[in-house]
Amino acid sequence: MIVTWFLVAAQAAPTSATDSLLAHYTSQGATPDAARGATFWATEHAAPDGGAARSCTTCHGSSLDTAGKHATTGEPIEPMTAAERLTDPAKIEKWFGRNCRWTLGRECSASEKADVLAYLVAGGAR
Amino acid sequence: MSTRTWDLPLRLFHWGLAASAVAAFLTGDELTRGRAHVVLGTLAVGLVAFRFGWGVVGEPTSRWRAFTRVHTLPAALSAVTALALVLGLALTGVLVLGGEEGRGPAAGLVSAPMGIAVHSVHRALAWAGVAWLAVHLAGVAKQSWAERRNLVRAMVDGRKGVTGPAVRLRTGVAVALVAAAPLVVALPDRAPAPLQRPVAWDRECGDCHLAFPPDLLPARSWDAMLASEDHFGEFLGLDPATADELRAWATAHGADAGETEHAVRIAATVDANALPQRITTLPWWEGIHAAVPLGDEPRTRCADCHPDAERGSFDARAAHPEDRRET
Repeated sequence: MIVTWFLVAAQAAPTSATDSLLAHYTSQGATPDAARGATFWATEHAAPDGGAARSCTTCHGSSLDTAGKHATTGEPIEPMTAAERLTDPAKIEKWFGRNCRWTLGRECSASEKADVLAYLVAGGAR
Repeated sequence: MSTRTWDLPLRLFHWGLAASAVAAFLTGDELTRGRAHVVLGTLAVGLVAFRFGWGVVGEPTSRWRAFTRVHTLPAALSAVTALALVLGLALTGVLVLGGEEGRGPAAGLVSAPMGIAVHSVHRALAWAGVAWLAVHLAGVAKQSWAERRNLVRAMVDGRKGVTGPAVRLRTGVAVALVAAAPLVVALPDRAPAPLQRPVAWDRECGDCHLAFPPDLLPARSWDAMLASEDHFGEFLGLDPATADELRAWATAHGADAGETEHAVRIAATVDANALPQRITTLPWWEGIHAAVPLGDEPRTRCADCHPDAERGSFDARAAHPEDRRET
């Protein structure tokens, strides 16, 4: 009974940043898929400078629950599941913009971003 | 007949000043022992302040009124010169500390170029003190010979002649406490004036590395860096409004604005045609870190050794492992 009430309340809450972004990507033809996102997250890409291959996990670490480390500067990176994450669509877009270029050498498609976001949400990030 | 000319408080003052002045001179190397140097200099000023007070309420032979009577003219001039040197060193020291390091009572009141200029005066006074000491020792030796008496020993046990009345040690302690009171207030470091950074600076720079103070690169370097999308191999992608805001702020406070000691030194050592982008390739940076064992640590982690780096203060004393603060 109480559980049901919570579920209803959660659905009635204002649209979250991730929901609105997922809706945005969907409107661009994406079909968010957490499993595909998980694969994408760990897929390695050759580095343009011939250095070690890069993936999202290079900096974010192997688990969404643990802190990562910036590959160049060594700056600690909050776990993806940290509470303050994924609350601002513009910020999410900014980091997709920066990090896709570094990791893949190109921008990510709406479909790839939708998959990653679905994976992060399923993994406990918002 | 009592001719005890140097009472106990005066003798303690003499040797205390001698020890603190010599130690301050030996710790003058700002890169290794900045903190000790400031404390020792403060102690010397405190002792001089005591001497002035003791000249008013102290033993008769220590009073200013008797000053020319108990001293020969050269000795009187020498003593006054010593007191003046200490005060001059203290004054210039405070200005250097405020101008170069942004610390101490003059923090925020003295510009960095002014602090650097006063530093040469401070050094000159210190060497004048060394010269003074040589003359002083020669004078003591000559006078001891002339009087057939060991004056160094007299300055230890107080006897120039036979024994005299008990010294007023309690009064001496009271004067010393009064003299030290202002110093206790002045001694704690005033925190470096925090550089007011735009929120966007912290967000856009500080998410990936230390939000470097802009006075580490010339304005033209910031202009170029913030106009480029390629940021050391990463995509910066600032929105135009943010880029403009950051560029305006960084160029206004670049090294060439000379707001800090390191800014002045960086601006002076960067080639006029150079457009440096990496702070760690600056001739100034390489020179100052040549002997620092940095290992493989990323060169963006200034704060590991300089806890106040983000606030624009690279206090030299924090740069040495034995002084590292726990964070």
